Amino acid sequence: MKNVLEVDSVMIAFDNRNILTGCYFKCETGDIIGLLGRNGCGKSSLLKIVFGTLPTYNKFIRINQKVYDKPYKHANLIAYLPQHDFLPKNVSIRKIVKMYINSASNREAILDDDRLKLHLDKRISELSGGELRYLEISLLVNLDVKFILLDEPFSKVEPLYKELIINLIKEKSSTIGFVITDHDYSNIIAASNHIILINNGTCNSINDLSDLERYNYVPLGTFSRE
Amino acid sequence: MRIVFNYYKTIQVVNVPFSFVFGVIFGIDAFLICFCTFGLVLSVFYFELFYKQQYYFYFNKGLSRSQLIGSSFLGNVILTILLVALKNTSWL
Repeated sequence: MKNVLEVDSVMIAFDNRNILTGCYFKCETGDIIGLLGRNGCGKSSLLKIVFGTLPTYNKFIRINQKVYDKPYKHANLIAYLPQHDFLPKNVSIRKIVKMYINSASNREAILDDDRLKLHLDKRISELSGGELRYLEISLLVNLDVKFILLDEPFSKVEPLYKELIINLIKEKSSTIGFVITDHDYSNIIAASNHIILINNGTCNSINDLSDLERYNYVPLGTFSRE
Repeated sequence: MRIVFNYYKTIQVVNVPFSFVFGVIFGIDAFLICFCTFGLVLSVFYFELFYKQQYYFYFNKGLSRSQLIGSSFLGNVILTILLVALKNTSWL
């Protein structure tokens, strides 16, 4: 059975400036939605509103026909990867995994991961940017949740780990719905099966990549042939 | 819950030394009061200032800020009660 996340009528303003003026999107199990937009258009704000940690004056979040005000407070529903690293610094990978993941099989899956098993006794503060981001996403995808929101998963990550992260997302998308946002649009396009562009405060479904040029998100000629 | 205890330990890194200094200056009762009140507030403020992003570590497990702070306060109150009982027993 597919899980369904519906986000509708999201509005938010900062310093009397309307940022989001009525966003709508829908994400189901198996969807990997790539959320693109310029700096300051409200991508991170939208994800935080959906997660439930950023209050706003208007929003409608429904998961499997049930409306939620703060989805994160409800177990096994939704997880969020913030832009900046969020793990406690002085704890080892092994301890973090044991503390965070309830399922024994999921714990073993992380501890046996080729990219992590050599570093299990290292502290979080000793990991490189790519290792840390990969660990963070590995932890989230092994939580028993229905949807995962990833805010700039490719930020400050070397190319090898970007590919690993894309593979991890695609592998887990059979049971989890993903919404990912990043400025690295080529990797977002590679990872996603549906693209949405936030433009003028609203979500615009992108069916043809050349639409990104029409919206002035990328330079002319990036995707279209002249 | 291990995750809640992890937050509690992080908070005490500031609370305990601060309350200890307070106690050295004003006495053991002052330490106990500070440990449950002002010291806890200061340590939560410190966490907000320097480790705010780490709240997402807890949010992703369904724990809210108020639950974490409330649990820490409860933990400190329980410890304080035990310390007061120990103090009174020692003085008998």
